[in-house]
Amino acid sequence: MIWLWLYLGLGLVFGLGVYVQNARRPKSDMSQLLASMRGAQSRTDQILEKVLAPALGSILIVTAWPAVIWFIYKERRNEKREAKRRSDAVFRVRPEDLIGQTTIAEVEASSFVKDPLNAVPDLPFGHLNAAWTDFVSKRPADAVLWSFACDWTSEWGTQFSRRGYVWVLGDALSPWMLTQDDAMEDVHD
Amino acid sequence: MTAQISEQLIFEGQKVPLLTNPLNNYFSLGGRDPGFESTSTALWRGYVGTWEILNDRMYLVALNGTLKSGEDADLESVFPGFAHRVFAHWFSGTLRIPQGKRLEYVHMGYSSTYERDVLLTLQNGVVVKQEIRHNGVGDEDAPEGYSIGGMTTRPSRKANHGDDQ
Repeated sequence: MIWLWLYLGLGLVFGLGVYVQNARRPKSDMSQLLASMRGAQSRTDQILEKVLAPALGSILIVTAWPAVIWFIYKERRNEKREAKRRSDAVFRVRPEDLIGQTTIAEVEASSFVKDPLNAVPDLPFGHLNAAWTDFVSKRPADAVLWSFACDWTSEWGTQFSRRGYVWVLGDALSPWMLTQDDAMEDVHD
Repeated sequence: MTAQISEQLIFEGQKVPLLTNPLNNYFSLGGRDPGFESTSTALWRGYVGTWEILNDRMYLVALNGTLKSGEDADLESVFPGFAHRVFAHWFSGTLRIPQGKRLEYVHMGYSSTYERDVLLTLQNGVVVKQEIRHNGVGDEDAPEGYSIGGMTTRPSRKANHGDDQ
């Protein structure tokens, strides 16, 4: 019997901790907005929200606190994973993606596009020349030009094979320009 | 997302539906996007491009749509100075051309399936591989060819301006 009281006692302490933490947490704008939209509550709704729900929640926490701890742990772990996934999904060129140093003249000489029907401008990168000139104009002072290649996964989980050029200045690898952005997926999309 | 109106491809002398949007690649590589207005849930991209495979090279030969300014879009809206034909050198990937009866209708993007898919693999706008994928045999009463089930249309800004006058 003493183990049961000890178990419930620990649950009570844990429940108090949860209560204090929630009481300290500022109300979100969304919950305030929802409350303002809801208007006046009936007496039944008030009893449900202010008495019954907290009472049931407290009983659950005190009696099943190990499960609640596991649930909170899982939620926090998922939040961290989601934050990392979103961070990884923002494309950036990494040092390991760099292939080789080059120059504007070398790149331009190798990037002309030929077409027998003359359906492309006689400029570096053809129809994408404006993107190239824009990239060149954004060169940070003293930065050097590198080519890069990498695989990248978007926020939606699609994998892309990417190639391009990037301005490198010390540890800074930016801005970059893509010359290839091929989705590596089934064509049923 | 509603099932989408396809692009058009002139392939082996016939105009066929194309379930790939090669202009997406152009925009993702930094190509100029004039800003298309979506006037239908079945055309979120706001335009329909007509492409042509000629001597194993892919060209964009027409573009129909509406710009956010209300003007009609054409080839020169995206490729100034190229009113009739644009070599799609930026595109590397697979073009999907559906053929035969519909196996399953999915009211989302280009997700519906058909008896066959002609798959053209391109590298920098040039066809390097062609294959046919067999997906199954459709029911006797299944509809033939690419179609979409329904859409909601919105008046374009140009139409709105017209109404105001």
